[in-house]
Amino acid sequence: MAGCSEVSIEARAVDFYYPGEEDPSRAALSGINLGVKRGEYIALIGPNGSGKTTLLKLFNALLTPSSGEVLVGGLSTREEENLPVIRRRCGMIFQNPDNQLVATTVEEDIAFGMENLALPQAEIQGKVLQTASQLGLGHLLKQPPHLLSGGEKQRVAIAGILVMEPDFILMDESTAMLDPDGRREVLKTVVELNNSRGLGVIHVTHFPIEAAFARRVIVLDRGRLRGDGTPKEVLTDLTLLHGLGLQGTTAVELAALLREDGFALDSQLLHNRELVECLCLLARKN
Amino acid sequence: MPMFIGAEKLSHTYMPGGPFATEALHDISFRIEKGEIVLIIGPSGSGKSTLIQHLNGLLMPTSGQVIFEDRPIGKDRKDLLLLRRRIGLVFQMPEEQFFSETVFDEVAFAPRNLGLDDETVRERVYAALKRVGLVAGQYINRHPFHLSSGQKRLVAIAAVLSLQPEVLILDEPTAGLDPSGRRSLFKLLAAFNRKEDLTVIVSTHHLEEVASLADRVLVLQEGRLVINGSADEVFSRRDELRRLGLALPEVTEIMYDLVAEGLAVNTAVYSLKEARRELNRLIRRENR
Repeated sequence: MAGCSEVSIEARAVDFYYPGEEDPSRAALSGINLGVKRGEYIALIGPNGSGKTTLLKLFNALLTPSSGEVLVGGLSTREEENLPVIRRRCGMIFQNPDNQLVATTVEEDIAFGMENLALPQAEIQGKVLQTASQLGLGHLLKQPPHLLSGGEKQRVAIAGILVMEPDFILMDESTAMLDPDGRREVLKTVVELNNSRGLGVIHVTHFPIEAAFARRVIVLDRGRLRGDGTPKEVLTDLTLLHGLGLQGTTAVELAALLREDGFALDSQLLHNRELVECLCLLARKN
Repeated sequence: MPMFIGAEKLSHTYMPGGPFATEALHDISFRIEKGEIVLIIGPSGSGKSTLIQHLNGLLMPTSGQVIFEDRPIGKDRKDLLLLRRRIGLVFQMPEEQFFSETVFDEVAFAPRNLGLDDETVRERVYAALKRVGLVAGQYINRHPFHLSSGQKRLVAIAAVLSLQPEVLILDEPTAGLDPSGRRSLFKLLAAFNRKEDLTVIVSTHHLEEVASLADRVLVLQEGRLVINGSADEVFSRRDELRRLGLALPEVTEIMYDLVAEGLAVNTAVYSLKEARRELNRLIRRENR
């Protein structure tokens, strides 16, 4: 793995302790080895307090490891001079949309990061327009952000990161406070950006149905890696998930109950439509 | 029939009269009986939080009234203090408002404000922590910021329960909680309701764990109460909810998908347990 140019984010033997919690039993993360390539779409799941947010913050250098190393595009997050580049490559979206919008209009908010880089105004305006229309925000540019819906606010936050042309977008429960339409909007946007631009996505979520959108699911528990595989591999492994107080998708959970009742259902089914197909077959048999 | 808690022609306008006047609630009437579990659902910005804040007198109607035990809320200030003791409100992300150094002080804040003596305050704190399933001895001296998200949420709820309210209102109580945190929180609310006849009002975007507990569901859209009925009445109006951008519990969606495939299943199913029973019935019947 080392030296492989494709690996864009790499954690090498990372331990992390919060200040005052240096006792090894209270490590927020321990022994994390992980490689994430540009273009991947990862769901990061785990119980509260398992270290998910800490890991994201290590990836965009808001935190630095207590030991071990995090490399973004080969650059260590420990070196002060690397930070501007690393933070442009890894943009972060937080849970509460109201906590990350800073300007008085949508347009200014999207432009905020570029303004800080002192880019020419014409270039900034062009990029803001282009990105906003791509995310369906073109008609909202003159609006004050606080009048937008939750889903719109999160898409403005995403736009503000996209204009910086990142390699990765790190989403820390960015759909948790949204209504069902808002969640769909944001997920659809992210899926499209992953498909069309090869944007790497790491999405922390407590909702198995959202994790099932990803192409790789990583499980953390008490600061350690406990699972890493495709959604089918990880989200159907109820022994692992239940052991950590987590859940599979509703289809997985329901299928498991019905298997206990003696019905022959595929142990790999993940999505509602797969369960519905199997149930139709069972019900119509003979 | 006497009204326990409810609203009559309630409207609320933010910043009335000015250029930014926004009508957040429009002509809302409903009644909630003692001991009910009520869900308030609706898209972001539909007025759920505004409505909730009227129910314990944090906001006052621009017109119309909110009723508690047959009397309009907010006629005098003394009433209002008593009311906020009897109707407890847990805000969204309540742990963001923690300000004490210890769990004890956090939970003791409200009973101390009632002017209770130290011994009674202590009893209240221990009882409230016990009610949310935290062993007081293990928590009272800990710093609230050092707890897990789930524990913080429970401490925030205990801080409201220390007032011994008869109605508990929670605004999006599971945001940010993991699946087991969500499950245990709703188990707890159901137990309060069953054992203590506590009236529980929950506003939420996430129906998964809570839909099967609801006696009544209020659906808001753009400040109007558009549907008010039992869980079965409301969740059977799937197309209408979809138009509002709302989703049914996922397990209910699976039942609807089966119906679309021509299978005769009951769609009034809101939990895995109910779905399991219904599907057993279906498959055994079809194969008989």
